[in-house]
Amino acid sequence: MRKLFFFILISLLPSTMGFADPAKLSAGKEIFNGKGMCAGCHVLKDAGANGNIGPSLDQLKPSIDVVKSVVNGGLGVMPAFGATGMLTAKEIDEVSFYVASKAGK
Amino acid sequence: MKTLTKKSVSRRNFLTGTATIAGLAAASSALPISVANANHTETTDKLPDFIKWKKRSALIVHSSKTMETHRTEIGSSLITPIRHIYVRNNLPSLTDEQIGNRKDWKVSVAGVKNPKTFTLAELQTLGQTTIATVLQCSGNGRGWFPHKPSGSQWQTGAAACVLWTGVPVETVIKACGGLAKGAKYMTCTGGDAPKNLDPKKATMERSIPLKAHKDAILAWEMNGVDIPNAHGGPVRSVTPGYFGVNNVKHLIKLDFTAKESSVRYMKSSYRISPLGKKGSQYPSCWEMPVKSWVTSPSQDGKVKSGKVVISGVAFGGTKKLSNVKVSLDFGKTWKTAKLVGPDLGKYAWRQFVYETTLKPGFYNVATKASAGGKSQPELRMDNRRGYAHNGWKDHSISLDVV
Repeated sequence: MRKLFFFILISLLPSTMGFADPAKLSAGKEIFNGKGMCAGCHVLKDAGANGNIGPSLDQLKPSIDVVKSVVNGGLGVMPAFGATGMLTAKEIDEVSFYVASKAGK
Repeated sequence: MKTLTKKSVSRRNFLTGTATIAGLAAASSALPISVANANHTETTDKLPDFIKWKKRSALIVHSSKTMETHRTEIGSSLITPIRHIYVRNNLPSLTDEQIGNRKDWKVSVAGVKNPKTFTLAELQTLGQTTIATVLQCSGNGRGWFPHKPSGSQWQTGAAACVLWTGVPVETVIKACGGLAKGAKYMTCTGGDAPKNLDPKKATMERSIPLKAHKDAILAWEMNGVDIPNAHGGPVRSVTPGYFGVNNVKHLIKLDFTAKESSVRYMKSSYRISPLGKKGSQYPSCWEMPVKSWVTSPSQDGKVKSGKVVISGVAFGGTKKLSNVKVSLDFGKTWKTAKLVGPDLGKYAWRQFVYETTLKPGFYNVATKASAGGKSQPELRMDNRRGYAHNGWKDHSISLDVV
């Protein structure tokens, strides 16, 4: 059981560990406040965003995988930015990296 | 077995529903440290302004807009205290300023012989009744799906038993000269779509089969008070036996239509589709299936050996509840529980009680309700978004009796 748990832990590491990448963070922030229109609906202190339609990202503190999946496929009233081509895969990667790095900080 | 820690017990519970390592890995990453282990009550997250009147300690906070009731905070007085009731709104709740004078709130009625618009004050002159219904989010129990569906990871607490006062939909139809020809659905529209969003995507509009209108009401009161904004006041449609989303908040239109609404919330959201598939060809979250769970004792502490009273809630969706059975041995043997307290009709939940004597040890307590000839299945029906979970195994609790 212990081994199994360890295996799971190891398998999760790559998705939970993020390394500081200033260029990627700044690209992500730009998408957050610009093309992605994330700030219109969400709270994220780092971006100065105070939207009241979706949940506060500072409180939710989503993992990068969750952000990617939701930005790509949409959820509820949130558009599917990836599936509809509103953002490219690279842009989704950047904005997800930014949100997961800064939420709750 | 007594030496199992709480953590290993909950992991063990979880394991019983998942057969593969891949499944377990998926489950672990989805879940839930925050759901499986943490006591959300102790976090410093304050409730947001629109629901600051709720009781923080009764709620598990999933996000700034979603909270569920702790298992034990359902209480044992049948009706759920309003300060404990879960919060799940697809759109921002309207504010007092946006609503204005509540008595002047308008609801238009269409799909009838004489379409009309009523103010709340006028609706209140048409007639009045009170009903008890289970209000339950379609995703209640999503936290146990191993495939990591998006959305709040609810366990049992996105549900409540509520008393509603309002005017029967039948009465409103009569006041409009009866139904127009060709009506197949009752379609309700909410007035909470943010103005800057595309109405097709952001309008909460739900269609349910016409037959459901017979017991439906347009409500203005909830557990003795005006329906709070966060729960959809001044007027909300209440569609007994149907999942929460069909009980449209901030109601501005009641229509009887030949087709289902084409907005996103009807067409693509809230569809019970297989994993990896979506579309309007799959069933909508309409009638709730039979379900039950234990609300006391709590599995978060130790229980003293000797006489133990196990209690909980059970309901049959649109069918009258027949019975509730309790198992203390992972579903090998079942005993019938007593149904206690007032019976507020088939759309309310019943409280059940099972009195027993327990020796020290580790127990799994499962409950299985039956209604309309159907019983809760052992396992969930896996579906893409994690809706309609009523499997008894995931809903069972662990008791550490000392």
